[in-house]
Amino acid sequence: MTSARRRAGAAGPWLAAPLALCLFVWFVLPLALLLSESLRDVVVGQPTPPGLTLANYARFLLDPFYLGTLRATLVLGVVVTLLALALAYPVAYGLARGRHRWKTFLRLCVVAPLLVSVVIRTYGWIVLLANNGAVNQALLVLGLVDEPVRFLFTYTGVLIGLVHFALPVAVLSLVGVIEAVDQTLEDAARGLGAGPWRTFWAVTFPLTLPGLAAGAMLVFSLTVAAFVTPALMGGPSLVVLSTLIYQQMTVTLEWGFGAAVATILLVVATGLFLGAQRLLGRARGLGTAA
Amino acid sequence: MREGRIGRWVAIVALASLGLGASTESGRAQTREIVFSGYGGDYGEVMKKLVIEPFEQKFNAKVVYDATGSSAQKLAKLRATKDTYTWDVTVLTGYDLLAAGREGLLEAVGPERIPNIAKLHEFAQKEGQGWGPITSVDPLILLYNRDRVKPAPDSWSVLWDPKYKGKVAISHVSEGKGLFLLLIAAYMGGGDEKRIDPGFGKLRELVPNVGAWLTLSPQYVPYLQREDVWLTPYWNGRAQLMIDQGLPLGAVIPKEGTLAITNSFGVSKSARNKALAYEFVNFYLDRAQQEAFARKIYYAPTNREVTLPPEYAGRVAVGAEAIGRLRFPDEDHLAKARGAWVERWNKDVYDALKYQK
Amino acid sequence: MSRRGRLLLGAVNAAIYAFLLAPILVVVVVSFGDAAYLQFPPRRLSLRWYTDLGEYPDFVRSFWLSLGLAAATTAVSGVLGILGALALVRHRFPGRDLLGALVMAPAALPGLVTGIALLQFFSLFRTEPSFWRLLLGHVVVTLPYVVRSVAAVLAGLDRSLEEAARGLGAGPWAVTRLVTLPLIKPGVIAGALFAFILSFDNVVVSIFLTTPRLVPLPTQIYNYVESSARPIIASISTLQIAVIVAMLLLAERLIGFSRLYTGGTER
Repeated sequence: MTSARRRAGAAGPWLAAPLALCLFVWFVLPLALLLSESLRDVVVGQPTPPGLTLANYARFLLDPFYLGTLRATLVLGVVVTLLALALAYPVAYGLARGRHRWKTFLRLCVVAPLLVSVVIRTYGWIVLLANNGAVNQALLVLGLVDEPVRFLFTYTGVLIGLVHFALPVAVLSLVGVIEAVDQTLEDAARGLGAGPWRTFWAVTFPLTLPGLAAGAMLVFSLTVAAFVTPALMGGPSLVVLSTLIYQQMTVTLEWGFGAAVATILLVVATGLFLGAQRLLGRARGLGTAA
Repeated sequence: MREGRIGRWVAIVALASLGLGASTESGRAQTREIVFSGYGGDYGEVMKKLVIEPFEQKFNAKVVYDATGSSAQKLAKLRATKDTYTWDVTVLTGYDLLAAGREGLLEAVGPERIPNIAKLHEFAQKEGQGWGPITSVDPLILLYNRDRVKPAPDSWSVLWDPKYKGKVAISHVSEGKGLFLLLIAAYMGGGDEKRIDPGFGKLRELVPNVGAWLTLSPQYVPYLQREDVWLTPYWNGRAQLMIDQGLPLGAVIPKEGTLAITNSFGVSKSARNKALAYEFVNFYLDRAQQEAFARKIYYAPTNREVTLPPEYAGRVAVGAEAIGRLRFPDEDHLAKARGAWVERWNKDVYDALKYQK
Repeated sequence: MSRRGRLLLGAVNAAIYAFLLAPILVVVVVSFGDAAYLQFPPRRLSLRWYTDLGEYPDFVRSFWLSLGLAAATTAVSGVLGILGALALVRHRFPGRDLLGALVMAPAALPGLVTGIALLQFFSLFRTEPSFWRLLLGHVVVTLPYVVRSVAAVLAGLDRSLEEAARGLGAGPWAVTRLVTLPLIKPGVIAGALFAFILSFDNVVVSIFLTTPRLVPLPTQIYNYVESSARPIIASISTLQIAVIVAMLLLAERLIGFSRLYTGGTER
């Protein structure tokens, strides 16, 4: 099918050039400069001695505690991504297929979490989730629990905070894609006798996979990059890579080690995206409408 | 066509913002102007009204105020922009000042350049090791809820009292309060800065009592106000402000004594207007400005000549005797050991919390 | 969809919307409190934290800067992102997959790292801190969102409309302008929304790229919050919400979000 064949022509590199150039000069180069310090022995309060070393990487990769933080970061990324996408889908579907009267208002509600900065948002959560906060008071009054539930400084608290921020991202990634689904295909399936559930899973859902993939990549990214929410709502029981990076870059000022942790995060994340990109490319042939 | 309209709007908006960007950068006077990097919030307000405005008038100069970042972030910025101009003067905590100085980011200063240094308490002249005068100190006090913690505590050990399980808040060791608590725990366990193991031991014992792990100082306010937290080590300056605002809190220096954090001003090596920068630091060390800071935000002054009315006694450390009761950590050693302590704190507390579950 | 299905969907949606709005509503309510510190629920109501805003001209200046910065970021990110997405989805060239993965990297790195890296890089050139630095930082940070949003819609596009246009004799640029771009409008709008809001909201990268005169609003708020916890930040945040909402409504009026999809059958 001509529509599925990608053009291996001259246009590609030209279209990609502005983006690639911008990324290279204003991201890759500066990062390379900073992350190259991971190979140097940077000590606070002294000029850095010349010479390269792998000590910073060894410090991370040979320590089970630090490897544990890598695992915790990735697990957190996956959990938040799954939760956010699961909750985002009904919202995005409602927005895409709903009546126009409410659409504007609802779209504004969807982006609400993004409208205030993270520290302010966290204050809102503290008020709601504290032991004597609104949520616990409601739970006690309704008799659903006997004593206040701990939300703050727990994994659950971090999930709440991160999913809250991730939801608008996931919803917006999905809405456009769901809207773009050709509803005549759904009509055709119904016409052939399929019920609404079946139509959804067999026709609609697969067509929205690109949106899910985009949402997944964006949510995973912002989760592994987040350090305010895990710190303010999780406390020291959850140490993720961004926490370590923050500590090394602004507190201990051991930029060598900090750069090494950042590089590891970058390599792992980019590797995952590369894998996802390859999978997407292979699946795209199945995703397009015939 | 819709797209045409969008295109036009995008162009208009883009041009407008370019214009905005260009215009805000114009009008840079080169002489008689310095850039001072301080903190925001109440500190910034007092700094602007009671120090910068009088300075600008007296010296016919302009001080541009940059309130961005904590002391550690300022240090990170200085490091990242080495040899390039960022600020003329910046406020830094004691150990950050030493680190900056040693990395070649600051100008060495003494009484020849900043005469008022000679008027400071001796420690304030020496602690900065020539990289800057100590401009104020703030002791760590025990902050407690007056209604809930009875009798009124007088010892750090109340933090470990199981009666207050879940009502204690402490800070991560990367932040001043957490760092000082570690040191105080070490002293209580028979150690000190160089023998820190007893400190970590006592911290592990404290973990079950902790109900909130906080980092930024203002973060504490909702917890204290909602009585989720009844006891915490906290900075005296901010504590007094909260008491003024009407929160039912008490602040006490426990009988075991306490540590005080030092604030300093550093003049960048890459500063544009060093002469004016020295004048500014000197001006800040004047009796009038030091007194204003003490009155408004309870920063303890380091100028020997400052006196305050009696109602401030007990709320701010003024005078040689009060300052003499404060202890200052070995900032040299702190600068070197902090990295290892942060790593150990991460692991130890994580472990302790895991076994709690 | 059946009646019961619709009700269930509605109920689930309502719960999720409540979740989305809850902490935001708390902040708005707190801004109307009378106490000198953050208090929820407020014992007495007052407008003092709004009338007091006049005493904080810095915040007003920051607000305008953030607005201009967000607009410029959206424009630049938008153009780069659309071109990039077209290349990534429709064309094959060496390094394509790597580019696709690399474009996500700014979103996966803590803003701290990007901020320090850019600051260090700019300092090498002995340039002055400026609006351009902030703009570049914001563009880099928002690019992943724009590219992904556009690519998502582009990937699922039915090519037959474009084939038809080409069959009728239109050149490739005309096809792109008149057929493809309108069809990917939902993705472009989502990307633009991301770019605008995330730029307006950006704290960490901005901290390292600000100049004393150019401080975006979130950084200004952050500076304030680091030192004090007064309700003024609640009123400023509420105003920030109000203004962004107003901007979005205005954009909706001009561009017409509610009818994102301009082709196909509508029910």
